Amino acid sequence: MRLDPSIFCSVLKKRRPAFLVGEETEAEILGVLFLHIPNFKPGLWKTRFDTDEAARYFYLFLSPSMNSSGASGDWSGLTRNGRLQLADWIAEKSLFAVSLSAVGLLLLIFVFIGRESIPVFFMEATDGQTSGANLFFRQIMPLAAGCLKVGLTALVFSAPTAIGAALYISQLASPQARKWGKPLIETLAGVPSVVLGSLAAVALADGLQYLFGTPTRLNALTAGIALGLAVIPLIFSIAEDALTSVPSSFQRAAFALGSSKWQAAFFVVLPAALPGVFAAVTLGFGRAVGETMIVLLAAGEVGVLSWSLLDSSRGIAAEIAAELPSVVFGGLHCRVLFALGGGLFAVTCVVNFLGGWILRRLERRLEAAKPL
Amino acid sequence: MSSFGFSALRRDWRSSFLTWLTALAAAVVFVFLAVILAGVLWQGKDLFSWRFLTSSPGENLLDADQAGVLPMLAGTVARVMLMAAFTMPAGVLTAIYMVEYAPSSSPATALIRSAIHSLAGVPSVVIGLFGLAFFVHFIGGNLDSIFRPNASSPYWNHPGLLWASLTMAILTLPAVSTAVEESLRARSAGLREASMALGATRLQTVVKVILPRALPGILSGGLLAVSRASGAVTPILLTGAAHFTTEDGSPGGFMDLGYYVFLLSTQSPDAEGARPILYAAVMALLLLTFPLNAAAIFIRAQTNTRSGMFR
Repeated sequence: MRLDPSIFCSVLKKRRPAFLVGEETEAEILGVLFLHIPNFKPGLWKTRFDTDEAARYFYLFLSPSMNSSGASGDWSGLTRNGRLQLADWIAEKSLFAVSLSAVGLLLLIFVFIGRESIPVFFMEATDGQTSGANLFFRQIMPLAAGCLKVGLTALVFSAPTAIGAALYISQLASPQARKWGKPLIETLAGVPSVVLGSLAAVALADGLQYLFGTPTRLNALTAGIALGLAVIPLIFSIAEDALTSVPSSFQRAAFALGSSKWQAAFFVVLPAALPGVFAAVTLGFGRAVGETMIVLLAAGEVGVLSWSLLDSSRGIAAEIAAELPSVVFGGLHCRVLFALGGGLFAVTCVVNFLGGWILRRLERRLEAAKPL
Repeated sequence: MSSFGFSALRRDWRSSFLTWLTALAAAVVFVFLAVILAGVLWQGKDLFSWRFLTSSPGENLLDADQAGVLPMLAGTVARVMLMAAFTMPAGVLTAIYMVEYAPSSSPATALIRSAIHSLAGVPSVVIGLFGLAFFVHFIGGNLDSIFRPNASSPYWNHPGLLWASLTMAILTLPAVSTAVEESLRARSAGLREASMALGATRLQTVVKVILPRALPGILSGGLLAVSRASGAVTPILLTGAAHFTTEDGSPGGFMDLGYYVFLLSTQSPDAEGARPILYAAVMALLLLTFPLNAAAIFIRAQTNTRSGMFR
């Protein structure tokens, strides 16, 4: 019977398998392995294999010689005894149950946001003048416009910066700069958004008013710049990962054809990772639209429906955070706010799903392009 | 020959220009980071002192002479610790399941994975709304009607520390499980196969081989979650923060550093007078979140090559 030698590559490479089982010594195991692998060639080590496969091969063909109890080809030999097997089974099931909590939480969020918000469309205001639906649609227009205005301002400023930085760090910088640059940029995410928002409202707003002479201190531009700073680490991180995960064979092929470092980066690696970069921007947009504190603190007090970046504006999330503490839970106004939140939730879900889908597709494609 | 020389020259010019442009983009980010940190340090150093950290504010929260952040600091630390107690076990166990047990091509695995991804993208205000509707009013309301049916004032059905921590745990769960998952995958690829091939069960492999090597990843995920949570204000704005601590029992509202920063920058009648306190409070908050976040990121950079988002 022939064995796939690749199974044991990891055992051999680590050189210290003995402590894993605590009984067999290294020499014995290596001896057993070499004994049972007639066509052992180091060149075959890099073949792909998976763990179940490895365990099965081991027990079918090797374990009889190592412990005399297991019969060849007997699946019950997979665990030393029933107790271990039972513990493993219990662990698997309980871990599965814990993992399902993420699914459960997501469902609960859907149910409870829906439960609070859907009745609004069938409610009348206490004075009988307007209906809940009317109130909702009257509110959502300027707020959605505010979200988009601030979010797009943030993207216009942050996307080129983050993508440029990602391209530099992952492709063009020296290895030393890469090692320190990436974590350093990601520490920007350690500045809480309430800090970015309050600094924008206190310091940045004055500077911008001085520069542009705007009528209101707090406006979409101020919030957009602060929000851009909050989004940069996210876009950078995903874009850098996408660029780095392009197989180096792409770059080497470009070098072989005579291109310089930046030509390989711009015309080979960047196009290959473009879906990932696009997904980074999409996910950044999802984050920007849902951001509360920066918009609440730095974009102004009232939501004005206009195209101007220099007008005061307010996003959906900011409106909810500003109004909710002062409304009666279960009342019409509260339910309108919940409905606004539900709308925001739906939009961000779609945007994030789109981003995640693009990323997964790209990963599969790059995986397929990798040489074995 | 001359045309070749010309194109080579042009290529060289574009090359250095574009390289410098991307380097400039990276530099811009560093500059912003440095300006923020330096600005806060410069403006906040006047009021920031040991006394500021360890004293309670006077009657007037905006009085610079009596400013202090001790109750806010205590509230933030308490809610973050409580949150970590909820989110760490759930996040770590989910990550272990996803890496060690989950069958790679099953609908359940795909469902859990996409649920974690979706949860990561839910805006914090929506999580806050959910916390208010579910924890405070649904669970809290039911607890009140079961255990205290005759009480006049609500005890559980009230924004408070426990509900805020639970809400915050939902916010940080995906970050923890993704970070731990990455580190489990990166740290132990060969050892897993070796252990399995030598006959260990998956549980033995996890407990004896994988987990000891994944400790830096778990630590990094925990630090990341704690750092994010101590800076996040929106969910607790809806589920627990208070201007002043109430005296009526444990689940009452609590003070919070981030919320204090928020209050100082919005509801101050005397904006100029509140500024020194604002900067000092921001400095205290940054001293809490920034080192934790930096430590998490650098531990991750030391242990695995790729960060969490792209998979």
